Amino acid sequence: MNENIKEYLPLLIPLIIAQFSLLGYTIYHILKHDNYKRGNRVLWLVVAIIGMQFIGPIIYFIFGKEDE
Amino acid sequence: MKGFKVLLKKEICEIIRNKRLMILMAIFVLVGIMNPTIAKLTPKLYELMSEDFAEQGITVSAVKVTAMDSWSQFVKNVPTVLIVLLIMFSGIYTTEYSKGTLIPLLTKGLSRSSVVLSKLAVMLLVWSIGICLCFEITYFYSDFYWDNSVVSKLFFAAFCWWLFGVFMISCIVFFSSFAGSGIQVMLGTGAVYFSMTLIGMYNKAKEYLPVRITDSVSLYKGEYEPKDYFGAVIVTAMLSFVFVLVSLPITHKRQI
Repeated sequence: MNENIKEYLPLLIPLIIAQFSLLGYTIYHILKHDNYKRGNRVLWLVVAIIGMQFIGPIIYFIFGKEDE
Repeated sequence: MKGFKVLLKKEICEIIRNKRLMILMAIFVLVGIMNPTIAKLTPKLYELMSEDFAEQGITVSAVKVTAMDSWSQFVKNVPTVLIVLLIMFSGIYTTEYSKGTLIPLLTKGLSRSSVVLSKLAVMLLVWSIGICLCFEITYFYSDFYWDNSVVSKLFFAAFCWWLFGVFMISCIVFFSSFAGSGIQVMLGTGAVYFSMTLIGMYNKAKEYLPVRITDSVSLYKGEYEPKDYFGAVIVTAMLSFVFVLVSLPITHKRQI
């Protein structure tokens, strides 16, 4: 099993980095803004963390982020 | 020309600030990584499911993955990204027309053509950078795990996809010149695609339709040569050019 994981590392590492950096930025963005297009802070935090495999942050930026 | 440059700067600033650029690039990179990952995981998935298959009497022999699987994932996923891009940019013209934010600029002497062209340039820029990124990442990983030489005409196939994206973007420009909202633009662009698929049922017309150039798998397998695609490539390029050209006078007459 160990060898197997090593084989996948070149694929997994960039995915994990991209995922966590996007999640981190999304949470930062949610906490910094008080108003959203719809929903509230708790809802968007939950969405971002549950759908942390890229879906949550993307949904937040398309549907939740307020137009300035 | 000066107006075009200023507006181009404004558009780039806009897509950076409203995070559209970031989301699109993230999706392009993600898809680029996912293509080889899915191909790489395919034998593992079969292994996991082999017991279920065995119960049903189906035996699964060892699956051999090549770079071809990675690239057929690429062909499968690029349309999805293109659709996301088109949805995001469908309102790029109409929201500004309906909000009236362009009126102060237009009354000061900014030409409408530069409005149309600057937004077109931004869309083309995002699409070109994105597909390059996606292609490069898939190329790198496919070469890392397997061998890209089994897949033929990779670059030409990628160029075809880029051109097809350009065609769809020019559809947005064309429909935006008279449509009232982003949804109408989306419907129009969808109708163009749908009617192309319908016409494509007749074999004779098929060779010259823009949808034809999206058939990359036969190109990869070597069933078709690039010269079989030239008719469709030229038609697509011409149509994109005509769409943009026609949208200029229509936008000039449009009431903003």
